[in-house]
Amino acid sequence: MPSFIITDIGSTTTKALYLTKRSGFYRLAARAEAPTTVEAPYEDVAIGVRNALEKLGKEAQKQFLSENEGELISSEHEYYSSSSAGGGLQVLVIGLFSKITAVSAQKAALGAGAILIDVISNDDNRSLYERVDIVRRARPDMILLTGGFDEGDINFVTEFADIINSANPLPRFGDKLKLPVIYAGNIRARELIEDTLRDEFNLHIVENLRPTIDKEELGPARKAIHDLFLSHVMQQAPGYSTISNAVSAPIMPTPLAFGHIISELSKEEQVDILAVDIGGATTDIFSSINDEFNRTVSANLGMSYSIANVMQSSGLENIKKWLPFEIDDIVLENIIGDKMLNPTELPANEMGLMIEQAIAREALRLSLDHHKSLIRELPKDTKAGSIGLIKEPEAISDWDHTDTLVDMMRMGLLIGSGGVLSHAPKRNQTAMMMIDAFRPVGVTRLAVDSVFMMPHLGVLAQRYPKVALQVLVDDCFVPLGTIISGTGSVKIGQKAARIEGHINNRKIQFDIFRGNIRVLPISRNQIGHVKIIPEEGMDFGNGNGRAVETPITGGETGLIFDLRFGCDQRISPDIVKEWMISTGCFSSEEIDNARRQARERSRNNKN
Amino acid sequence: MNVQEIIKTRTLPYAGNVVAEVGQRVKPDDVVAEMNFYPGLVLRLRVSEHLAISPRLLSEVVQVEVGQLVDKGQILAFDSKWHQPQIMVAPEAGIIGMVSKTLGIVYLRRLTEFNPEPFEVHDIAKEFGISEEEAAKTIIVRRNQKVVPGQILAQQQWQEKDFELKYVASEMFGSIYKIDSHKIWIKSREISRKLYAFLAGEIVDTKPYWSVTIKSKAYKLSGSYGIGGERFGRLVAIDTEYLKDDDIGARYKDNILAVKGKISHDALLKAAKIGIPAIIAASCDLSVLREYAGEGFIPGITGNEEVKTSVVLTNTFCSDDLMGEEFDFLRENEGKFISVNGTTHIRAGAIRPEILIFPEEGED
Repeated sequence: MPSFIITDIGSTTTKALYLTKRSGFYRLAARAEAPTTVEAPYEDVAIGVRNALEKLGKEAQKQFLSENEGELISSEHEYYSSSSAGGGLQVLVIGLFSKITAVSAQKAALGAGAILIDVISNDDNRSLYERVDIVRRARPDMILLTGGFDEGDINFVTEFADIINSANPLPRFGDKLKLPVIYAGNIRARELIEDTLRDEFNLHIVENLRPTIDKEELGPARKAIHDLFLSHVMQQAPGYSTISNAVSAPIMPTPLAFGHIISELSKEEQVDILAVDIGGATTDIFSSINDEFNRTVSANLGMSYSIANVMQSSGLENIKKWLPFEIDDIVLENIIGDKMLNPTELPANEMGLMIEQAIAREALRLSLDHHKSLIRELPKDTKAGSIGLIKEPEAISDWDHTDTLVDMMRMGLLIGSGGVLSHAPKRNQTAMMMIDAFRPVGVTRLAVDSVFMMPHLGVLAQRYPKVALQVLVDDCFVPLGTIISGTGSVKIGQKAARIEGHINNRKIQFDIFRGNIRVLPISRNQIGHVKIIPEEGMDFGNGNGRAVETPITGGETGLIFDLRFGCDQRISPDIVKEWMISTGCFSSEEIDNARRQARERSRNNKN
Repeated sequence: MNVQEIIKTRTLPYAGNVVAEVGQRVKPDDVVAEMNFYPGLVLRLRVSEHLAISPRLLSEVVQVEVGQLVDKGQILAFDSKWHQPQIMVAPEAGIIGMVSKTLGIVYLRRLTEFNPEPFEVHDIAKEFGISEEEAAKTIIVRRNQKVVPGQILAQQQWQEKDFELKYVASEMFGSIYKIDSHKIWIKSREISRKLYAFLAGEIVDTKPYWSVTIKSKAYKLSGSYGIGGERFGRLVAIDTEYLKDDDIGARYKDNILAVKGKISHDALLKAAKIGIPAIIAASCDLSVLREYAGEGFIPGITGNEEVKTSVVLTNTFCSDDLMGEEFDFLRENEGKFISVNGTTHIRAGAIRPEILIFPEEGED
């Protein structure tokens, strides 16, 4: 088996990895990065890739760049790459109803790794002229046009085909090329769509992604988006032909590669997975539920550029409830505003770090809410369903009553990625940010992507899924531990369950109480087995009062029993202080420092 | 600080008339282009149905072109296959937007004239001639929703002989300010029909109906954060650590204020009331700006706030530091005509607020 060079060409940085075999297993042998060179004056991503590979070579004391003319990488290595440079894969999505076909179309595009420029639907309160204007100005990489069940409306999609024709949008790259349009709507409108768009656009007709109200067929549209990304977008983007010629498997959009490795892991371990990548401007949530992959992007929730938008969406009170100190609202808002203006600045003291982590909890919570709202069960095909919908558009409100598919009780693994999670000073802080935001229930493992190599492994998994998963576990993931949590009607302070079992042959036996959190430090190499015997009225995953037996794996934090929420818990700075100390996130001294800093800042402001 | 060459293309949001010529010298407050109409409600004229022909034959019968201005009553389509010619005329004046050969529809964009009023009020009960209770049920917009000319505010469908749709539409760009049972108040978004030069310089290119390109020379200062769009006026420097409402008098109307320190909430409100186009200051609490900007404020992307006074900050929100050399420079240029734009995009491809000071004749 060869050794592998893998790059992820990001918007600002090109990150390169070298994986090679040691003692029978593939390991991460070197890592390096260089600025991405997609923008002027370079306008050639291959320059940034070469720079990164040169640094990688120095790190590994090897020569990766080929000396042969026209060859990027020397032939003894296999090369793979993902990319989000130049703003990633930008798609304009069009669907008939905002909560039906437009949702399915968004899921298809996001699942293919796209960034949505806009989502247009018949009920979006925009005038026809505004829609023409959006299409004209958008400059997407492609348009995904959908709408109508196969027995439903054809007027919207045919009219929209006219709008596209009339607006004559240009592709982002290559002014003279025809803009790709994927039609995945009502099959009865195909002929009309072809007639309208065939001459001026690079039209691809695929299966209707929402043929009936209770059925989604996202695969063909996703495949078409991915194929066009490779054949069209990548060929036009500056310098990509050099990369395309050098890779051993197709270049993947970075979010798709990230999602691909999660899907592979979910299949391998047979668990539902929820993963998050929290960045400076946006937060991506990925889920693999019953072998179905989903992705949503919360475009205005991030930890630097968008940090003030998180505050605007969540409200100051929701941020303050995660702080172990009182702080003046004006001061807090100004601190958050300054982080927005200076996105690369790190927290200067304990208070700053705690504020950042409080905001992260809210950004993650809001992003998960968004994910839950989009990833829902489809309505049943009853008379009030598709037929009712065609005749009575107001029946779309039924959509709001379907349940989300994101069931935290079923999630077996939560994965965190992105600066605030990967680079938190203590791993316990990472674990608690994820727990507080996502509120897992039942038995859930936690891990964090330590070096941002999940996209790299996703793209490698196209050809070598076993190698990619092995490196993921050995070198990428830092296991944080296992969290056990329950729901139910048991009141705060009362016994919720009895815990029995053993960890590394040591017997454990104790009670856990509603309103409390308890952490048992168990390292990543320790294993155990516990039986949770709930009180009547509590559910830990097997139903009301029914026992759960589960193997336990440790990690940087250990085994966490969390029963703080869902029981009228009143959160105050003193309670938060208690939680922070008992979970090993911050010491008493660190919290006292933060309290003093917040007091001083608030006092200075009042003066 | 050195004078820089600045070239900007100034583009109308909708097609109109360019009123400046290549080679012309302009000042920031000169109008370089203007719109006569807003693009209004689009009427779908079902021509193929009306003439009883296949939609595919539309191109053979349509007598007008996309983009053409047509008068009320003007013939849009003509077909002579029957014993006597069949025609379809424009039900009102407008611009031909699209011709759909798949649906057999000609799209006519109504012309909506500019509405200079600050508010537009619709009494739906009166306009439909129905009871107040019934009228309230026909309203399809909600509070704070943005509306454009021609956008339907309330609609009523009924079927006596033929299915018919009656509607009340907005005649201005604005947002729904209040809905009280059967009455709707729209607050104007103050989109100007006029496009100003914003720069002092020379027109070097024009694109008919759309834009002009201006070459200018200016001292350019960048702010760290701002709100509100483009403003211009004569510069007045105020050397104070904290600008309060008492510091602002009517004498400053139409002047841009440069403040050495921080701005208070009350000062900002007073400035807007007096008619001060913009304030440049060292700092301001984010909470003050958020409250002042109103609903729908997105801290990371600003510039479209409906505020009378734009704000440009040179320091951070937390900062107690006063403006240093920048203030000295602004004070040196007191009395000059300057342009300011508070638009800020924090994300990648960032846009930061700008302050442009144009040197006077002979100064360089």
